[in-house]
Amino acid sequence: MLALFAVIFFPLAWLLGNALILVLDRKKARREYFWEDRLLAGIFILIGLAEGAHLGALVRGQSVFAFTKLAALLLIVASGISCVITGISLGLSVRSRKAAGSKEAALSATVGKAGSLSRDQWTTREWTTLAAFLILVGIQAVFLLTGTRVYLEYDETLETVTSFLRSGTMFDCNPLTGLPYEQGMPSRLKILCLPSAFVGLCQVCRANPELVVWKVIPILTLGAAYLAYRSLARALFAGNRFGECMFLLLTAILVFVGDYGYGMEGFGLLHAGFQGTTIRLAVMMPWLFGLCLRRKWRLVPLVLLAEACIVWTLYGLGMGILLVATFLAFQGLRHALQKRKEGPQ
Amino acid sequence: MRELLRNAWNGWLAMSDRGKLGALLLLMFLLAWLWKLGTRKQKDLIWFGALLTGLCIFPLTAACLMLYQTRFYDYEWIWTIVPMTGILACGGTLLLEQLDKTSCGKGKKLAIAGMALMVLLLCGRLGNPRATVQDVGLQRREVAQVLEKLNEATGGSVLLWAPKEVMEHARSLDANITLLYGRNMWQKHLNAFSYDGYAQEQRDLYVWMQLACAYQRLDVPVPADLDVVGEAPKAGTTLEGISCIRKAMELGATQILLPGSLSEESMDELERELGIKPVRLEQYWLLSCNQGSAKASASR
Repeated sequence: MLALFAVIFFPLAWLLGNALILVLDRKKARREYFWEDRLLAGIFILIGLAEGAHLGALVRGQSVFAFTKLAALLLIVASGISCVITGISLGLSVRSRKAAGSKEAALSATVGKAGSLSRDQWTTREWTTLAAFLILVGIQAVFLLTGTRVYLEYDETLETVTSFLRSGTMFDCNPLTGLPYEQGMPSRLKILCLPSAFVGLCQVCRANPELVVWKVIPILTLGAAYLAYRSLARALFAGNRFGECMFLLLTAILVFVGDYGYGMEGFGLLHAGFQGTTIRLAVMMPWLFGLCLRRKWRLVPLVLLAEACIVWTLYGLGMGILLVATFLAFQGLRHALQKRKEGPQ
Repeated sequence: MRELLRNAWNGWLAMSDRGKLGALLLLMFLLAWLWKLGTRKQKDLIWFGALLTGLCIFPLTAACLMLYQTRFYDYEWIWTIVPMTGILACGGTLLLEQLDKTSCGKGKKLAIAGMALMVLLLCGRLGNPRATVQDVGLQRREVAQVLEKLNEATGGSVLLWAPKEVMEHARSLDANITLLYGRNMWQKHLNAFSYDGYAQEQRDLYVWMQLACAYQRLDVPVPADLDVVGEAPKAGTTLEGISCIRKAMELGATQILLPGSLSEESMDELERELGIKPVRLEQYWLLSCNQGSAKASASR
């Protein structure tokens, strides 16, 4: 079942993300999105769906079964809507293609080819760099799959998941002891959806919680992090394939180098990929940076909302909104300085 | 505010002490400035990153960022807004491209790239993270074995009191088992996840179990340098094993695992005092309190 999940996860995420981009942006602007953007948008929509189901289950009496049922329902509805939107878009594109007589218009309108590399031959240097990058990512994935070096000090996710699965209810007992809460727990933590999402995954796939929380989710986070960095690389090194590959290779090396302490990206990806803070640091922030640099503002709220679903910082405002606000201030300052430098016309 | 400023500065010092990627980031800004590296977007990333890095290092702005992210998170998390990996990877790629454009020979270029890679690798700790990342595999397998045998031996609901290594993994391995206290007894950050705390008697039980493992006897003196979350028992006093076990039973413990290093004589003494026969379970002594609790309370 887990293998099936792994097979359908990314296509499903792509479908959802693609539908969102089709709805959000104009036809011309859609072509400026990469396939990585569609996948990441889909992953964040999945987080949003999990949050919706989680809040619904909390309201309806904190049953884990209610969460899984609601999540499955939301997923089916969202997938259905996405299929309809993609279908309509494809139909419209085919019609316009017939009208314009262009062969590739339909496909490019749906899939998006912006920033795609020129289709010339790959040089040995590019191949070597890409191969080195893939080898490093492979080593990291094997490390996550086979290793048991997990950072537990700030985290009780696995205990929470096993508690939910055992009792069938959410937050009725302290996961660290199994005894009923005396004073309770902060509401700001109750509303975060990651533990419930992991429980749903365990239930649907009938998988061991340890396997899901310590191995499957960190590998997904690692994959999503490289998607975010690939999107950033394409924004930074458009048309420069060697630059893109070298950027990704250096990112993979930096993940190993940054393994030295809690709070570092490499450390989170290799030892705590199941934590919301790691997903924020290694997936959301690089993608958000890429979106800001490319001025793709329409997807920014999605990232900010997804952050509020998995990490609670200052009443849900999050670090993402701080980043976007600082970026806008930085751009404003730069423009002002540039204007001053140019002087009155 | 003064404390916050001090925390912000100490946070940066601690972070730069752990690894050197922060220093490498500053070097990258310097090189990018000197050689005017990058296209418009690349410059945007690098100089916006420089601004954010400045905000995270300068104590006043760092303190403001710490206030923003609330006290739930430590200093290192304000660095979430700095795209450190992105900037270093972008800067590194630009430097390599710069190197590629120079007229020096291929061998020399390779040597320079190799040395740069070595510098990069030495900025980390070469796969040896300082933070306590446990290799939990072997320990979890051992604890899983113990819990399996414990379940076979008891077969009802279990409220367990055991040494730290068992308590640490018990709940994540078997959620049917409840514990007298959890990992938040010794990992203070976990207390942020709940409003509940522990009573002094539970802290005493934790301390006794730790010391019994270390001293390998029932009555243990409390040392001065105890590392306990909350108030520790008074240094120099003696924690008596039998009264601690009685206290655990009063708190509802149905199964107690004691360190196997305790002597047979100590177990005989326990049997005499509590009326419960300790049995060997892997590397521990198991006291099943269900049968003996009535007798134990009668003997008091």
